[in-house]
Amino acid sequence: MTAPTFKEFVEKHPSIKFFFTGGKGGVGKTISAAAIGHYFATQGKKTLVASLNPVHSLTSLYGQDIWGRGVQKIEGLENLWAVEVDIKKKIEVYREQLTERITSFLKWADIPVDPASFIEIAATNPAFEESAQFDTMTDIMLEKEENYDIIIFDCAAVANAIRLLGLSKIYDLWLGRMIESRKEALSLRVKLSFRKDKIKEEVEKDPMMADLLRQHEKMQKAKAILNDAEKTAFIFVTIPLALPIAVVERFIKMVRAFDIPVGGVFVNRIIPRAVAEADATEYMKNSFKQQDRYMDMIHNQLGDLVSAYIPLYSTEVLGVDGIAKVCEDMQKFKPD
Amino acid sequence: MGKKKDKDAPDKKRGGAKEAVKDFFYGMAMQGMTRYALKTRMYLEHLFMLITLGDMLGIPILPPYYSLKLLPYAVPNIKTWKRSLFKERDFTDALF
Amino acid sequence: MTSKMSDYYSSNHDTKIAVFAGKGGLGKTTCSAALSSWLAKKGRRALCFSTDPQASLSDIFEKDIFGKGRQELQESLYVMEIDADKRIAIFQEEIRQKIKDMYGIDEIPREIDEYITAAAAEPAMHESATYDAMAGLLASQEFDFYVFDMPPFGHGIRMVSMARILDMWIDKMEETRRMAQEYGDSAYRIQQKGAASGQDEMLNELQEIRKKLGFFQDLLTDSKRTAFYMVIVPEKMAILDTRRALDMFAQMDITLTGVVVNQVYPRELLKRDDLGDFLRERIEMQQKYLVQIEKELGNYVCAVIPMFDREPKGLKMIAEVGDIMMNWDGKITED
Repeated sequence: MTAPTFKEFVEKHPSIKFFFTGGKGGVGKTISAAAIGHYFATQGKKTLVASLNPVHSLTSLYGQDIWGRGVQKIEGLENLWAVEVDIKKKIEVYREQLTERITSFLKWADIPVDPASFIEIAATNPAFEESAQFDTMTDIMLEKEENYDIIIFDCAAVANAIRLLGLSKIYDLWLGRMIESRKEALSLRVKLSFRKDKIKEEVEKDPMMADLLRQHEKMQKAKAILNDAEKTAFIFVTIPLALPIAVVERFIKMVRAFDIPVGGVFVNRIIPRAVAEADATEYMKNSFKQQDRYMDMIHNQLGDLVSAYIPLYSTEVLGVDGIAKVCEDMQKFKPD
Repeated sequence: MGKKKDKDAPDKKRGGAKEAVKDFFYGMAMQGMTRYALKTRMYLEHLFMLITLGDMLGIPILPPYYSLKLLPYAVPNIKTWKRSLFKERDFTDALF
Repeated sequence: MTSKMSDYYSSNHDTKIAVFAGKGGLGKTTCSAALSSWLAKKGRRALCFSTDPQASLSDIFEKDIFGKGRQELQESLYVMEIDADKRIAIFQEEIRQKIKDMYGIDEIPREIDEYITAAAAEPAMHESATYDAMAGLLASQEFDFYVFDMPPFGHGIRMVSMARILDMWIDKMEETRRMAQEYGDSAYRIQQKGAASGQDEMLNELQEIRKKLGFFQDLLTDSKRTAFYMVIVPEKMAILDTRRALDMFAQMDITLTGVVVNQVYPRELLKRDDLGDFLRERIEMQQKYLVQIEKELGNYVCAVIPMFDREPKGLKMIAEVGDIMMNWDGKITED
């Protein structure tokens, strides 16, 4: 069974708005995201490429200062914008919230200790970074939805990407529990209080509860989008090598378990036959022979999902021109 | 009562928690009153529970893996802790 | 230029841990596997451990070791890939059982049971479980040598700082505890009995955790006992990333032992007539970045591993990679 090409896939799903790229580290996720961005931008669609990596590479890829500058217009191409997501600001907000909570707790329990050291420790909670990444992604999804026709998220290495998406389910469960315990805490306060009316009023305005509910609502919306196969597509990137193929297979299984739609597989770094034949070194010969084997493996195991092939280039892909070439090859190139 | 204690409590400048706690206890010891000791005991209990199981209140402090490790020891205190925590201040003061 | 990696290991007997850090896809897991294999051949019981949630040790050694505990692949060579989900599930069960045993109950109160269930879903749970498992392995001192890979950003970094954080916590709790005892002894007697002893046990547990993590952190930041490597390839983006990672390690008091340059096409190929244009361009690009690596990181480079004409996999080939890596003594670039 042959899979639809990327173009066919896009034409068959005209309302797709969000793309995600994922795969083992180093297979070309960022380049694939940029190529998809190029595809839509040249069709006149307002397009945003957003990097969710802990280590961003859009700045080096486009050769343009993007880091720390929010959404930047990409020079040299109409309709294209890019952003390297800075989670530091988000973490700062978390820190402030936590500071507020701890301070008010200590004040309330009348504990005469300096909250600073508590805050310092609590703010290093490893959950912060992951939550912040996911949070920022949902922010972009919900806030920029109106502003752009297409948004492409370049996700961090496999584990992180699974997390980001899987998290929507897990995070929800976690948030649910937080809300429950907060509710319980507040109702206990009302129950035990002498001045019920006053407390009740206070409880209704509880800033933390409001915050949790807002988060919850945001999660619900994001989840609905992520699970909508007409709106969202997850593109997996692999190269003809055993490890990246295995990772994509594992990845697809996990993503499907979260009801997230798979939009296709890109096979990157394929040595074209002509290139291999022009070179008689055992290097090229063996690599090409090995590639043949792995291409078979890809066809057997992922064949019904492969929607684009991208050749191996002799030099690193850099700049809008480099990406334009990838975009063109992504639609035309076929391994022979 | 609550107000009087506020006066004893040190300011929240630098010094950190250690100094704060020390000063507080110093002031308390000078008074030499069991009631204060009892109350302090309660604060500390709150503090202890906050550190270990803060996320039950939506104030996650310790990574949850370690919170879970400590959970068995806290089981008998959880209910009382939550109750005492959410009483209004006047109420606790009235107890003593 | 630094000396051969093998010299390092024959003269630094205190070194018990090696960490390979680097971005995904550059071959840090391959390097970890190669060093472990080389050490095992020298008769040291070596454990190769992956902290990557999408670990590839199973693929590299061509054996399914995921979640199967430590596996001896050949004499002295042990590998382990943690199934964090499974570990968390077991951990949850242990906690439930402990509560039942401690209080002689058959059923966990609903609220507490829900807390246990939901805590496992918390975003950082995976990371903590992996970290804890690793710290436990190191503390056990069962092996002569530990090798693991670590992403340079995100959880790898936090793993080191977590011990420090926990340290601060325990200090604070002990202090609180001590003060309560000093000033509140009379209050203890008046108050109900149970609460105090529960806190003591809790503190004991915390001290245990700290011991484990503290040991781990000391090891990692002690350059005598831990060797820290960065894996890099001769490309622009990799060089940029490495620069950033170096700053980060410096902030954490981690001393870099060496840089391993991976996936380098042998420059001799350029002299051959049968070389095609494509590969020629690629090799020339690599040579350009190798000059930059020599200039910026030259003092750190301890091995250059060639690009292989097939994926380095399986015990035999990993051993070969190990020999090449450990005995590299050449130059990064032509003069």
